[in-house]
Amino acid sequence: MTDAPDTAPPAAPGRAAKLGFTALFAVLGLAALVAGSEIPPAVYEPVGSRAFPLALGALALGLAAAQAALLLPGLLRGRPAERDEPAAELWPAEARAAAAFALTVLWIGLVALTPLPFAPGTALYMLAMLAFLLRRCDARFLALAVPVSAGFAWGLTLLFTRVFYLSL
Amino acid sequence: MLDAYAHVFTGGLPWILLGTATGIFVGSIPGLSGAMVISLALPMTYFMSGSDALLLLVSMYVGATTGGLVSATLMRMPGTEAAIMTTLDGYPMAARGEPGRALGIGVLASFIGGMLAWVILALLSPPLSVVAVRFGPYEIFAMTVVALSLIAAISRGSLLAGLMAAGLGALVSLPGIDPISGTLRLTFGFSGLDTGFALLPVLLGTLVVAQVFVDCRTPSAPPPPRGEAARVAMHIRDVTRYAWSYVRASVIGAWIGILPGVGGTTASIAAYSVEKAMAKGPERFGRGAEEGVIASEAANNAGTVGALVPLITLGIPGSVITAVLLGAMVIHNLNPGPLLFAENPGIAHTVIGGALAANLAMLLIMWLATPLLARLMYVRKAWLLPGIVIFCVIGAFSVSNRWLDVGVMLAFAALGYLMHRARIPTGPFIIAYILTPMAEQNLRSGLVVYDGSFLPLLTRPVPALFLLIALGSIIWALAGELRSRRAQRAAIQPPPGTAPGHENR
Repeated sequence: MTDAPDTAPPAAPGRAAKLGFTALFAVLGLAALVAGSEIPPAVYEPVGSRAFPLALGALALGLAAAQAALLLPGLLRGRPAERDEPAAELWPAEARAAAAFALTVLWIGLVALTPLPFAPGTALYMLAMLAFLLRRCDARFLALAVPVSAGFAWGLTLLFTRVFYLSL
Repeated sequence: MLDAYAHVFTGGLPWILLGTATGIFVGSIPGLSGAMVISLALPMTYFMSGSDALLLLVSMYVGATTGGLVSATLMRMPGTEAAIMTTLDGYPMAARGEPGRALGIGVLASFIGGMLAWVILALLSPPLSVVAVRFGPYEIFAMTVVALSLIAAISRGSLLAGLMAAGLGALVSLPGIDPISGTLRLTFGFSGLDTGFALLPVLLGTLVVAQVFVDCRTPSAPPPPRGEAARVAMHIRDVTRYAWSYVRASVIGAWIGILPGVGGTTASIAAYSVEKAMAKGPERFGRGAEEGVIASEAANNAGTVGALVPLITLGIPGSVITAVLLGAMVIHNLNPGPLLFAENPGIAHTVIGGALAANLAMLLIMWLATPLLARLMYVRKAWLLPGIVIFCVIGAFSVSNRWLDVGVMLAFAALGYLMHRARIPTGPFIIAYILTPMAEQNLRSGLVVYDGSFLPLLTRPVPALFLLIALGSIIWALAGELRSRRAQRAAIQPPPGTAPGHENR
């Protein structure tokens, strides 16, 4: 048998997420620099509206560069970074969070962009989320979850439309 | 002042009872934080007067800090981060058959800590506000720089992560109409951004909805086996028996609470360490020492009340929760900052009186309702998460009756989730988002007042002192960062004379 395979371990989630955050931060910093430079210079005051966007944009790029300089060598060498859960369980966990997010976006999209009223849409969303989070869809679960979801959705809708006059 | 106190104990009392009870309930459920419940309650306060809204939110803050005691003692799971030290001695006490005693001394310590810190709040705030009201724009700018630097420096994780979070919060605060010149900036031609990112969707998305998605990562675990539903056992003789422990922990907690960015967790750790160092039998700590529970609980509640001092006198939030309270003041047009005492003395005294009343309400509610709480905290969190998202969606929508704000909230929820995964702290992000407009306005006003000169920032004593503190905190944090890197490197390197791979043989 040979020793451990000479392959780099997969990039750890903390480091990949940090790299993603750094990239987003750099893009926002660059956007602030570009958009800030298009703001007309001040007339009645010493610095004007463009100073903070330009300064913060430059600061963001500097900080992002420093973070990238710290992250990239480890990433290129494939050094494992700190992780808080086994790699085998990582992607299902991310997938669960992504699925919950997608379900929420779908619900908002349906009630905001289609004629689906808020109360039934919300009841369906709640029922789907409960089934997803509890991983149950049996009769006993439905006997409890359906009235809870319907009562919660219609109760809140009544409260906010009749008492607080929101146009949900 | 008397009118404010009269309102607190008459018309405001239902809000205090509701806020304290809700805070205690949420605080007792591990994973649900005080910042979450206060952010969730913010949209409801649109329909209330400013003073009642603050009473509700301050009571939630006090209640949530105390609620962490219940699960820390009965389940060994701190309901709030600040209760982490309580698990060390509270749970062993409960395990050896004294849950009522552990909860009793914890509740009493929380009450005494809160009351002693309230005395400091009531005595310190009015004179501090008299000094603060004389501050000019450069003084206020320098003060916000101190708050930002301390918060970034002390934040969880590395200094760089804290600075990036603060930088992002500052960037997010910029789009919209510039309040001084009226110029539109960083809207990228999108009219929905003309008024900038509203406070509430940003708070709800980053603090609450992001946490829900983080909780969705792990399948819903079955609740732990139920322990004894304990009745709180409090004895007046404990006040005299542990008098110095209460005083020490409360003073440490209140003092640390006043410092921006340090917070209740550090307060309880510091008070616990001091108490252990001064105790006659320090080996008892961690095995159910009553002084351990007292130190942790008195300090974290004192820290909660202490954090209100910079909030109401200077408009500087020392933590995420106080940043949300500052946001509530902004939403209710209460002009938080050094002028609060001058322009809205009633509101300032309402907050001080509210802290007093919330502590009294906490004592009563914890004494009566702990057995019920002990049952409620075993509810599976999965049953609560969808409801929390629905409340947040309605809250974001209620800002201006448009779905765009809900979309903004979801975008910030995704950002908050990414920050959680990247271990970037959200505290500096929120605080920078709230403080940057204040810093920008005061810097630009100062430049107008001083004919475009930055020099008064260094020649005037107060701004110079504040900037020196900011510089010192950054240098201190950098030194700490270098020390920890050196220590990590030393831990990785094998000791001299040891062959590589020796430890594997």
